[in-house]
Amino acid sequence: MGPQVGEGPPSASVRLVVRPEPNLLSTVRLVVATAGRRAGLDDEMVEDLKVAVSEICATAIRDTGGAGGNGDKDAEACIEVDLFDDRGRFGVEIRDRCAPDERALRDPFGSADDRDFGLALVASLVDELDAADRPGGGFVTRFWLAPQGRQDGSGPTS
Amino acid sequence: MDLDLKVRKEGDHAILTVGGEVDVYTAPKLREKLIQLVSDGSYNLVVDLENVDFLDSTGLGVLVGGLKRVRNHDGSLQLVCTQEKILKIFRITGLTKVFPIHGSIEDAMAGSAR
Repeated sequence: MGPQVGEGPPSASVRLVVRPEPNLLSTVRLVVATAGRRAGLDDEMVEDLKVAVSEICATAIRDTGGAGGNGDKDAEACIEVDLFDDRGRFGVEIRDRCAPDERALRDPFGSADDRDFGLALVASLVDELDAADRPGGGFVTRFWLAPQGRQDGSGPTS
Repeated sequence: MDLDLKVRKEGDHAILTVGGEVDVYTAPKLREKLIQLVSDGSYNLVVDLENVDFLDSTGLGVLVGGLKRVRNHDGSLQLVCTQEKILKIFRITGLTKVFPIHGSIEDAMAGSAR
C-alpha cells in the first residue's frame, strides 16, 4: 500500500491543473488516458481511469458551482490531478478546494444522490479509493490501478 | 468533443442517435432533447449509443430521467449498445435491469413492441 491520503503523494510523473469548468473534462480525460497507456494500462483499465478521474473532477466541479472560480481565488479554485507510478501501480490523486459546506449548498448540475451515484461507480472501478479533508478546505481523493503483471512491482511470476 | 444528437422517426418510434461524449458538460443537451421528444408526443424512444465514446453517471441519470418521462405516458425507452466499455457502466450500476439494451435498432424497435 502507498502513502495514506493526506501524507502527500509520491513524486508525480504527470500533474494536471485545471479550472473547475465542465467543458475541460474532456481534456482531463484525454491527458489521463495518454498517461495511463504510457504507464502500461490496458484498454479496459484506461477506460476505468477515464471514468474515475472524470467522475471525481465532475463532483468537484458541481460542488464549486462550475463557474471556474473568480478573481484572486482562480488559482486556488483549480483542481489538481497527479498521476504517479508507485511500486508498479498507477496512482491518481485529485485535490480540490471545495469547502464541505459548499458541497451541501451548491448544486447546479445534480442532486446529492447523483454525486453518491458517481462516487459509487468510481469505487467499483478502482482499487483503494480513499478521500480525506484537505487542510484549508477541499478534498483529496486517491485511488490506484494495477497493470496486470506489475502488482507490487514484482513483475510476472512463474 | 461535443455531443451529436440526431432524431428520426420510424413508425411510432423516435430514434435518437447519440454521438460523442456524455458527461456533466454535455448531458444537459441530451436531457433537453429527451424532454423535447416527450413534449412533442414521442413516447416510444430508441436511444442509439453506438457512437458514444464516453458515458458518466450524469449521462446515466439523464437516461433514467428519460425513462421515467416515457413511462408516465405508458411509453418505452430502449437502448442500442454493443460497446463493452459502455455496457460495463450499465452493468456496474445495475441499470441493465432497468433498461432494455439491444444489439441493433431493429431489435430495439421489436423489443418495444413486445
